[in-house]
Amino acid sequence: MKKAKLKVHLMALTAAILPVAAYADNEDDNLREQVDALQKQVERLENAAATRNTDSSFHMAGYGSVEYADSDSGVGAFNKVMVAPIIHYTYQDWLMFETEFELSNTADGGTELALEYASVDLFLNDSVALVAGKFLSPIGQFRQNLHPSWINKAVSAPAGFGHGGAAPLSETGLQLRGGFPVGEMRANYAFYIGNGPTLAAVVEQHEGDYELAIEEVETEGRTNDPDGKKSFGGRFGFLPFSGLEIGISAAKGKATVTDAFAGGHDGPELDIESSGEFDYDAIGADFRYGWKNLELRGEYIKTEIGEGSAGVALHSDDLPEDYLGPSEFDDAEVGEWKAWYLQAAYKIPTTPLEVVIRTSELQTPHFGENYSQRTVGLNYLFAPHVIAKFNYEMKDYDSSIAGEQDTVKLQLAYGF
Amino acid sequence: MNISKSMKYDLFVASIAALFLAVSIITPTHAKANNDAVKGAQKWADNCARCHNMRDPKELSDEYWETTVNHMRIRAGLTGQDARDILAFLQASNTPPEKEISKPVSINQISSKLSGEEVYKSSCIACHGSDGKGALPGTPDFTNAKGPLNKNDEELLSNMINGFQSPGSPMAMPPRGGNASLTDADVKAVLGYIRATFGK
Repeated sequence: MKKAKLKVHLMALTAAILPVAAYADNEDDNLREQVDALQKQVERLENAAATRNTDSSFHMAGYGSVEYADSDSGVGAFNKVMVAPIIHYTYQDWLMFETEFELSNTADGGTELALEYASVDLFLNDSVALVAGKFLSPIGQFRQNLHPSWINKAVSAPAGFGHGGAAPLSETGLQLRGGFPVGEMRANYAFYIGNGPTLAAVVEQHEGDYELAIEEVETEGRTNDPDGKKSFGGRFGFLPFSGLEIGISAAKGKATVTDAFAGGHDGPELDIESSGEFDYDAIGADFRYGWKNLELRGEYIKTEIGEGSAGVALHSDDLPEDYLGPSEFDDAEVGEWKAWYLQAAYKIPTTPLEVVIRTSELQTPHFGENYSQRTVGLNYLFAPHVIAKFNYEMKDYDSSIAGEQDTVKLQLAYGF
Repeated sequence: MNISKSMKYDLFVASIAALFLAVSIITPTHAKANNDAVKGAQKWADNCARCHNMRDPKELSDEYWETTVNHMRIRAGLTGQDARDILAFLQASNTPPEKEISKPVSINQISSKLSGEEVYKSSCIACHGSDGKGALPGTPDFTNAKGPLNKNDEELLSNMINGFQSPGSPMAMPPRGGNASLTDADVKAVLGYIRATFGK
C-alpha cells in the first residue's frame, strides 16, 4: 500500500516538474536565438569594419535602358541598347572623383563609347564645391539633372535638348557650385569657366551663290580651345518653398568654325583652316513644381551665334569636283537656336502607374530642321528606379519633306 | 590706358573666379554641426524629388550612401549640412529593425518632460505632416480609419521605439523617428497626442 502511494506521489511530482522543465527549455531556446542573432550582427559589423578603408570609398552607380520604336514611316525595331556606368570615388569628406561613360550599340551592330563627364570635385566648404574636368553643362536643368533614362519621364529628350539642339551639353574647365540658405528658403548656384563651344558650318549653293552657314553649335566639352578665349556661364536656382524651384542660366564666350561640310551635315567633310570667331551667347530659364503626386516642369533655352568673322579657308584638294565657289569665306550666316518644353507627370495614387504629357519645340536658323514634338506616355514603376515606359510621340517638321511622323516608343530603364 | 574688349572680358571672368575662390578660402571648411536625421527626412523628400523618384534607403549600404549623397550634393546644389542631414536619415532608415531582439516596450513609463505636441512638432511633423496624413510618399495616413492607429499601443510603441517600415513604403521610420534623444516616455506622450489629434 505504501509502495503504491509512493508511486502516485512520484508520478504527480514528475507531472509537475515536466512543464517547468519544458518552459525552461523554451526560455533557453529563446535566449540562444537572441545570442545567435547578436553574434551574427557583431560578426557582420566586424567584417564591415575590417573591409572598409576609412579614408577611401569606391562606388559604381549608373543606368541603362533598352528601347523599341515603331514609326509610321519606318519598320519597328529595337533601336537602342545602352548602359552608362558611373564611377564614384571619395577620399575622406572633401574629395570626390566621378565619371560617367555611355556605351551604346550602333545601327550596324558596332559599339559607341563616350565620356559623358569626368571631374574631380573638391568640397571647399559647406557652400562651395570646386569641380575640375569635364562636366555636364549647368545651363538649364535637363542636361545636367534629367537626361538619364531612369530619370527622364519620357523615352526621348525634349526637342532641342539632345545633341545638335539648342541646349549646351557639357564643358571642360572649372566650375564652382553649391547651395546656401536664404532664411527658410534655399538657393543654389553653378558658375563655370571653360574652353567653350565650336561651330560646324556648311558650304551650300543658294540662288547661284556659294555661302557659308553655321549649321550647329557643338557644345560637347572639348580639350582644345581654337579661339583661345574662355567661355563662362552658370545657373542660379531659387527654392522659395518646398516643391518649387526656379532657375535662370546664361553663358557667354567666343566660338570658331572647326568643322565644315559640303552641302549639308551629311555631305563630305571639308578640310579647313579657320582664323575667325563669333560671339556665343546662351540664356535659359527653368522651373519645377511638385504637389503631392503631380509634377510640372518647363524649360527654355536660347543659343545665339552673333557678330564675328568666319575666316574659313577651304583646302582645294578636298573640294567636290563640281565646286565652283570661293576657297575662302570671310563671313557666315549666323542665327539663333531656341528650344522649350513643358511637361506634366502624375503618379496615380496606390498604383505603380504614372501618366506623362510633354510638348516641346526646336527652332533653328535652317528650314527643314525645325520641329515640334508632343509626347503622351504611361510609365509603370516596378520600383522607384526600374521603369517601363510606353510613349506615343508626334513630331511635326516645318518641312513638307520630313512632314509629320508619329512613333510608338517603348523603353525599359533602370538606375543602379 | 586702352583695354581691349577681349581683355575686359577676361578680367571680368578672372574677377568673378577670384571672388568665389576668396569666399571659399575664407569660409571655415566642413562645419561640424550635428547631423539631424529628422531634418534629413524632410530634406531628402524636398530635394531628391526635384529630379527623380525617391529610392528605398535600403537599396544601398551606409558606405555607398555616403558617396551617393556627395554626388547628389553636387547635382542638386545642396549645402554640406543638408547633405549630412540627408545621409543621417538614409543611414538611420537603412538599419532594419531586428524584430527578434527588439527591446520589449512597456507603456507604464514615467511621464515625459515634453508634451506630445512638442515631440510631434519637433520630431514627427517632417514626415507625417501637420495634418497627420503623411508629408512624404509612403508615409501612412493617421486619419485613415484603417490606418496605423488601428494597432494597439504596445505594438505602436514598439514600432516607434525600434523603427518600422510600412508595407509597400519606400522608406522606413528610423528608431525614435531618427531622434535618439527621445525617451520612451516622450514616445508614449507623442502616441497619446497622435491618437487624440488624428485618431477616428
